[in-house]
Amino acid sequence: MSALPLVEARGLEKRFALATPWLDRILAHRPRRFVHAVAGVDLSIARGRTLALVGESGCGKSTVGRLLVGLLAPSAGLIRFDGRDFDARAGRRALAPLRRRMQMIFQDPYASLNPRWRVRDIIAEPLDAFALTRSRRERMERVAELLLQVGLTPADAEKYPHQFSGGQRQRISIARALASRPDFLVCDEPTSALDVSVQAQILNLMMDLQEKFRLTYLFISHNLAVVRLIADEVAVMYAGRILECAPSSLLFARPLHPYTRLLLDTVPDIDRRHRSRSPLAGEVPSPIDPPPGCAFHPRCPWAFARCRSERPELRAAEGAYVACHGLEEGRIPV
Amino acid sequence: MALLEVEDLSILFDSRNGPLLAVDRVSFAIARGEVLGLVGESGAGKSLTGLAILGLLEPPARIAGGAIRLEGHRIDNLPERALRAIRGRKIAAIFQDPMTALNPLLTIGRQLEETIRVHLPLDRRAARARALALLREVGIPDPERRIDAYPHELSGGMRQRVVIALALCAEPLLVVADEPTSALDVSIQAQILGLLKKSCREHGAAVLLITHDLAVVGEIADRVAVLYAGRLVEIGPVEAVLSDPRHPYTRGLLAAVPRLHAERRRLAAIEGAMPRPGAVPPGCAFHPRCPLALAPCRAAPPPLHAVGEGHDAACFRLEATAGACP
Repeated sequence: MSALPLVEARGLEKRFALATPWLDRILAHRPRRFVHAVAGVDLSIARGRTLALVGESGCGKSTVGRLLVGLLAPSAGLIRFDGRDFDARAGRRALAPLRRRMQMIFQDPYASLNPRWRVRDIIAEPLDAFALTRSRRERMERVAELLLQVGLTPADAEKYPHQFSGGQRQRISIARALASRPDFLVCDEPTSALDVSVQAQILNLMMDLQEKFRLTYLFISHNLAVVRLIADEVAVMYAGRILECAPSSLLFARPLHPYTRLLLDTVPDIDRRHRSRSPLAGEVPSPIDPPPGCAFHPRCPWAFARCRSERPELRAAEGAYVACHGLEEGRIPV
Repeated sequence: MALLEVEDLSILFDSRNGPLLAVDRVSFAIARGEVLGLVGESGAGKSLTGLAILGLLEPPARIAGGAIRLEGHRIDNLPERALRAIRGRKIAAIFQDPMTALNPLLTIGRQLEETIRVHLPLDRRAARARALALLREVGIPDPERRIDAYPHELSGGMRQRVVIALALCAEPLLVVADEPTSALDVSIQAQILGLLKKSCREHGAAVLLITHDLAVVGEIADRVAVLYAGRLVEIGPVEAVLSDPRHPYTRGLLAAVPRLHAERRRLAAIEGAMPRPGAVPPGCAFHPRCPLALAPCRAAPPPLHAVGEGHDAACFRLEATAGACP
């Protein structure tokens, strides 16, 4: 984390208004309600590194990804990219030079590719959008090069998405993401829809491409074993906030936050079968009415009065960053 | 005698280009109270096998051969009426998405009572008492109040608990659970798996657990069967198969699983993809992707060979797969 970060976010927030019908709201004398999908997130990713954002559905991890590439405008906070402010509300033209340098890979390779387009046009879309090639021939050559880089063949350019398997489609998505020679890729559950043997191929490809092009990844996932494999740093999100952020090897060897500890203890682990353990009780909190204080306190075996009333801030501890009163006060053993 | 015997089960898909073989002479048995994990990638035929056991195969899929026996009696050729007396009563089902298994217009109590009364000779009050007891047993907090809730008022994990209660309400002999935790959050997944195992053990029900996740199998199965391109390639006690896999596909699959306690490294991926029905190569279906394949592997499909106590693998190169995994 020594070098200047390529991507940096400070105090990032995103609220979504709940679509309660206006008349219902008036009749029930209720104000507009909001989902605080992202409720104050700080993060930074150094060039060439991978930060994994892990958490359960609704914790806000995908929203953070969309904010960082400007698909959504933040409600508060700021994003800096390669030392420059990146404001998604600025005009299309003003943003283009930065936008070219960031791309996204989505989870579902069936939904993210237009079924009516040929592969060559899918992959060339960023080339056209940013006017990166000057002739048809150059465009074709670049598409062929990209197809080879992701393990497909130039002849695949003439085919349609339905002619490919799920893993091959994800390769097409990656080729499209690489077309504008980006520095930063947001990968939102890129292998969750794939079978294990195909997932391994795609993860290997992503690691190879990262090394070759010195790519920076934000890797969003709920799969801790995949995160263990690919990430340099891991940030654990819960109810719109980061609870713990640490280098991957440290986080998996010695998780600090009670949520991280229980999560790691609770996920099925092929190497530790039939072990005795206490599954994480309770439910994932609703992002509409998150619990006061620490959002994890209703499920936390170590929670006490302060956790119910006062929200813990992310603080440096033991080589990591963790938001927990119990740890800070030394009531929970490290 | 085994509780369930599946013998040389074949399932065909009728398509425009003629019939496609999706499950190819698969045989296995489940003992009373046993948990058998059926694993494979999408398209391997694991869900079709589960549906065939439940008598729920729908056109264009159909059973093309073989036999399914429950307590020694064939159930694969029964008329719908006779089947209905078995399905729900003796064989219950749990599917991936609890929302599709529950009727959104009825309270969960109503659905439980109805199911109980279809299968057991109980009056309304007794059925409601049983429904309450089941909800309590599957860990629904405040069951007296929740029994009158509609499915949409419950979280995904709570709904799957209700589905488990529904599956167990007639004391079935076998529960077919198809990806029962794949739609749930990680922290909820372990709760539901633990509950499924505990409840089925307490009710004496055997489980056919269909999943793509080897870690889930390692967690709760007694034995595991591995399907590849519609064929059974390996079957055995879960410890033996996961720690000493003998089929090259099982070995490849295990090597491709990212581990929680491993350093950052490249995974040993299996190149290529599983063939689709209709495009299965001659010989062993895995040979084009197999690092050990020789001429005989391309000529004829290998039969299952015993490689250990109750542990079989279908491979001609078993001498090369003894010992440590690559």
